[in-house]
Amino acid sequence: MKIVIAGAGKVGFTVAQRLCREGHDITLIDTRRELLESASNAMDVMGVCGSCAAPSILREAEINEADVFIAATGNDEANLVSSQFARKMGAKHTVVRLREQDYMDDLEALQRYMGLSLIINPDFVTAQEISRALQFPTATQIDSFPDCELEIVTFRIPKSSTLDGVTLFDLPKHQKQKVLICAVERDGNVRIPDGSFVLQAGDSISVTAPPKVLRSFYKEAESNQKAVKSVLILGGSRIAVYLTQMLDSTGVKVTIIENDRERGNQLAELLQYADVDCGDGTDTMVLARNSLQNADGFVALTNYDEDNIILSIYAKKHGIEKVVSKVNNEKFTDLLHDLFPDTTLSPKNLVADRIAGYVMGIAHANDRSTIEALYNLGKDVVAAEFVVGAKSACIGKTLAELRLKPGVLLAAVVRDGKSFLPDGSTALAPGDRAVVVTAGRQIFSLDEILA
Amino acid sequence: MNYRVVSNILGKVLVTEAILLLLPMTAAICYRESALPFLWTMLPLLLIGGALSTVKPKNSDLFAREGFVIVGLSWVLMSAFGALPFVLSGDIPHYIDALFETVSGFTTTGSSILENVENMSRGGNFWRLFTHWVGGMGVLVFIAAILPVSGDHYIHVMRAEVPGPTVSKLVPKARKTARILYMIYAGLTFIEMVFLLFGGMDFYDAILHAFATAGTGGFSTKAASIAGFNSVYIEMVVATFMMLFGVNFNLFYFILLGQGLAIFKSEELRIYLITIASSVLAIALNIMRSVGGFGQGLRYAYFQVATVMSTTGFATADFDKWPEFSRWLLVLLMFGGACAGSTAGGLKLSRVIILFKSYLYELKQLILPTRVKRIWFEGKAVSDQTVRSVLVYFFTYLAIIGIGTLLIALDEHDLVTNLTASVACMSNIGPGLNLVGPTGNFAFFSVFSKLVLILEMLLGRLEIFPVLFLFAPSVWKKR
Repeated sequence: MKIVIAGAGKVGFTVAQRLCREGHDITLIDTRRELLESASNAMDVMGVCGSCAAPSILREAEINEADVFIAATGNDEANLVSSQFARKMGAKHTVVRLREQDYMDDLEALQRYMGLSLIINPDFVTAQEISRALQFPTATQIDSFPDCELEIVTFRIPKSSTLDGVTLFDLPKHQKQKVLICAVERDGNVRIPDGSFVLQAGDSISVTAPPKVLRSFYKEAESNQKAVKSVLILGGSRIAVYLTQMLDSTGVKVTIIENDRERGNQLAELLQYADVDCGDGTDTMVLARNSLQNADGFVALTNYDEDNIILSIYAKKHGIEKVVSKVNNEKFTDLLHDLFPDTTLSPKNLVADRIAGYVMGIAHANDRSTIEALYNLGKDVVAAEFVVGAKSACIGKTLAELRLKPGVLLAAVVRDGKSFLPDGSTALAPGDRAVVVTAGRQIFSLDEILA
Repeated sequence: MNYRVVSNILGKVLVTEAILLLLPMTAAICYRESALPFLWTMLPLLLIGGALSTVKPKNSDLFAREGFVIVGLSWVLMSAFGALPFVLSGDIPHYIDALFETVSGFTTTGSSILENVENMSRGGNFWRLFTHWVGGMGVLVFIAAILPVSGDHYIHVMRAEVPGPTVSKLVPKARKTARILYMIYAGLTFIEMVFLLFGGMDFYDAILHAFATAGTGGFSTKAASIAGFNSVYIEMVVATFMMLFGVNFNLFYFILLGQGLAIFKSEELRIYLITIASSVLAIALNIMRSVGGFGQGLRYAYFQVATVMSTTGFATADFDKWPEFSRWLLVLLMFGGACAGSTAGGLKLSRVIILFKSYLYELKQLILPTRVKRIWFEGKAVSDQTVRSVLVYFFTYLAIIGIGTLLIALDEHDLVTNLTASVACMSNIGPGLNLVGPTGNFAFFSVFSKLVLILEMLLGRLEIFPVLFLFAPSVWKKR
């Protein structure tokens, strides 16, 4: 595929590196010539020097032949403008990195009216990743559907888990609430399990359910992991707001320490349930009065990498099990990854991971595809979201009546902005969004799931 | 220094050379000559090359330093082995002479030590002219096009081999760029061959002269070079193609993309064409009395200007007998060379243009010291670093020509011979003036002088630094 990336900073560079290794043709656009030079010295890519919001520069990058345009500069407006040019000039897919809270207000509208394939918000992605690290430490993947009513989590069943040896038919006996196990990877083979499937320790399973249910399901499966009940967050950044909202929805008690009183007030306005403490997080007294010792998790999100790193070492030393610190400085991230694995997160790396994963998903699909969104759940397992068309052959029959291909499963239905798990009596209606999980096969339109 | 990557790629280069030798060997068999000289050369190439390429790199890290070393060593080794068929077949009995001929071939110089080429075996002559084609676009670019060696860093190797002040890719992937370049190269060669066949050349001569023109080399199968065919049509075809192969290949790619007229936006191409036209006119006027009319003057002038500008070195007339003005104008053109990104040698026009502009810039700066102004080339402001590297290159170029002239002066020949021999080798042209003029050859030089000229040819073709770095101890340090 031909891919044009605007912005050769950390995000653009990392995305280019991943995709270049997959054999795609990459053209980078940036105003900073030295960045382009170092990129073309490090990998087999081409650079165009100039502003990505200028049509002439996009033309020079041959945007008309591009399969994917990725706007990954640090400037929201430049990203939006260039994505619009790119789309009108012939780029098939557009991926945009957006940060400003105001744009996040109605993502779906933004996506629809601007014709964007994917919007990536670094703060939101980072919050998601921290939430995963706190609540599903062994999970390899976690995705949520647009309205956040349902999530898909992929994790490996540990030894001595209560799930070991359970037949799927019997799962409701072990588990009060309804979950859907959509894919299982065993010994490198991926399959969609049916009712008679027996789970084993070592299987990697992808599970769909509402977030709260998923957490209790995960807690039961991972009997030796202590559940996180209270979290202390340092620094009231945008990431902290997203993270608190996510943790709130799963019933975790959150305390935020924020130095600035003004910002503290804003936080209190935004967040109903969280405690906001106004004080200097580097002060041991402040940490003590917010009962650092009793917290299950500690997250350092200040704007200063050094503060974050030192405080997370301090928290670790005080026996807090789950410690996560955000590190922006690109030079630190690799060093810290060696020193303290699993405790540092680089937002830029996360964004690059997401974008590269998404583009690889597009590369696997093709032109006839009507896929609205794609979630890569692991090796060969893909969840694809479709809009049910008025003429679809899937309409009018209940799921029990529809005959599906092997290796295909309807994992979730979104209707009127609410998502739910389908069962045998569910019937699809026009305008629904259907999330289909496939293992080891590719489908490009909804009707292909029928046998 | 990542020795494993270096030896792996060097191995591939040697194996590739063995495979390329199949072509002259086939020619030898077709003309009922012995294939043994080629077989005996291929054997060590395959053994050593095969052994080297089994060295698996631990990591494929490859930086500018490795790129320079790979290119420098590849060319030295290729020439060293490429000389063997001439010695083994007895065409050129002395190894240093054979090496001179091979380096002259690969570097597309075209200076010869042969007294009479028509005594050569047909297979040997095929190899001699084929080396021009191989060296013209470069072996490492060829390897990039056909073998999956590319990786993320192969661009450093291509940069070290492709001539010109800056190397730009045509498409994002280095491998595809290399393929496009070779397709244009092979396509143009084929077209020229067809044109030559129409002019009454036999197949053997047509294909070999197409090879020699494409690489802007200058070897010929005739002692009298192109004049030996005695045909105005062939002269015009060869002259025109020499001119074409002196054009930046990126521009041919734009033509392929259907942006034909856009190429005239290229400042370098415009100056190239203007220089050719005005030089042809000046020389034609200067020589018309001695060659019998303005028409004849144009004919000889066009061919000689094309051959010198494109650094090819074919001859249709003994320009050594021309008036002093024409002789010296041709020597000046020898320094300049043709466009960057072509198969031609010399300083490259784009460097000359940047040099002139920075000269004017410095002059204006003296008059108006407070004015802020940049040097512009091809519609873009040239970075200070590019200007600096052009200046350094120009100085090194002149210094090497000077030192080369000094060293071969030990042979006690006259200054014009020594200087033009040095310039002709450094700029990869071929013939110079006086003893090394179009009708002469390089056989009379001592072994030492031949080695000096061999080094100059390699320095000129690889744009100095890859060869120079082979002598720098810091390059060889283990990382």
